[in-house]
Amino acid sequence: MGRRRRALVVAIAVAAVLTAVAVASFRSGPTDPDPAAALIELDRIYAVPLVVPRKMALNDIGTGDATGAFDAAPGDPEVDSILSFSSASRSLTVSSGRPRPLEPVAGASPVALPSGVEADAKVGDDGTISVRWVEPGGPVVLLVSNGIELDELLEVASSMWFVTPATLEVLSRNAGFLPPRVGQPGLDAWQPPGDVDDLELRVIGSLQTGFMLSLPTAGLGLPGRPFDSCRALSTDRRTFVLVGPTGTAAFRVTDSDGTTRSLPAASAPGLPGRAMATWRSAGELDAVEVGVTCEGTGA
Amino acid sequence: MRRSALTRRLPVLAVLGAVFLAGCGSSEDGYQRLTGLSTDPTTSTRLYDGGLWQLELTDDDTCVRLRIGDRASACAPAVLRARDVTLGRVGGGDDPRFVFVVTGDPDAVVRRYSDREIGTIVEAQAALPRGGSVVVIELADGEAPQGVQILSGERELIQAISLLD
Repeated sequence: MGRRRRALVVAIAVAAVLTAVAVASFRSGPTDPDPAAALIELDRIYAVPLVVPRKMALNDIGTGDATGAFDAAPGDPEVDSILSFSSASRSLTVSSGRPRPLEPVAGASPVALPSGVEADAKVGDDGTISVRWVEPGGPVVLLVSNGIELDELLEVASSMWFVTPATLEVLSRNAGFLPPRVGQPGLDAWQPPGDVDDLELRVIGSLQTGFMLSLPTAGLGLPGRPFDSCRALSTDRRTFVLVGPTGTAAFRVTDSDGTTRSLPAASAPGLPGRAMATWRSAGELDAVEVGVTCEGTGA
Repeated sequence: MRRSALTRRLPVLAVLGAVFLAGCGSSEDGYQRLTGLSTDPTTSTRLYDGGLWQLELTDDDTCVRLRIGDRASACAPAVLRARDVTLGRVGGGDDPRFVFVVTGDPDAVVRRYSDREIGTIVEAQAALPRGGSVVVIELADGEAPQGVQILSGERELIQAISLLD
């Protein structure tokens, strides 16, 4: 009888531990990745530009080993993504993939992307401009363009959305078309930290029709390029989305009664450099009346 | 906050698209059914004869329609600014299916994407008297369209439009 009781107690204890582990893993779940995790750890190895120069059409979506194009040392074959866009007089190719040892680009000059990341830029005799960089903790990215000014190319570079192979596969179906934006659920849903828990950020659009960032429950659309300052966007006069540039660790907001509060900022896992938080004010305010300052290195 | 060029163009597309499709019966598959004789032949000019189908322009040059036999689509505005686009899906059921694109660019072309065509260029069948052009794509039986790129005469993208439901 004693042995049976001990066996029962052990069985209950094991079941309790397994249940706790199961609940914990369900809560943390694959849809709730650590925002601070490196892009590579999240398998976000491909770069998709949210901003493409006007009037340029998607030409091709492909995969291949772009090691040579990256000026990387030869190694095991890689599966890189290669997106190409063109118009009559301009072309743009975006290649990206897992980081690998890179050789210096002959004749290249260092250039700072708006995100603060340092890149190698090279202007060829034929007007071709290439920009190569390794996203911190993420993939190697190479832009090769013709007929596009460097400033415009850097804007493309700063708009990158880093996606997993599975997401790229979704984006590549149907020649890059997805169902129309109206009613499209969007991709990569992410909840910014803060007071409001139903303001998910999503990427809406397609490779063919272009992308935008959307907070559908708030009816807000955001541009694909990173934010250049800290500010509040209003969904109503009490609920706000706070946005800021790369390096913003927190937002300090001033409420209608003059009290201030600091709200930690975070970036969506595939959209580094776009600090966000949500805030519910004590009193009613127009977005332009909200005093917002950046706290952190991006201030 | 500056809106993207695409975002700025969306209302134009939405409004014009709605105008074109408003007169047609809707259907579950997204194609607008043709409903009865809707064009008086004495008040329209034939712009293009595609055999099974024709393009007709009203005598005041403001409206272009796709005719199949004794039935015609609703009116699509034939006076557009250079980068404006109207797109409609016509037919369905037992009728052949068409994608009908009207642009304000007289030299526009359409790149067609489906499960059978990857970026095939379709030239405009007709020019509009007040500037602009019309492209009609007849879909094959069972063909699943994905979308179109509408390109200007200079081969710059005017608009890419999804045809996925």
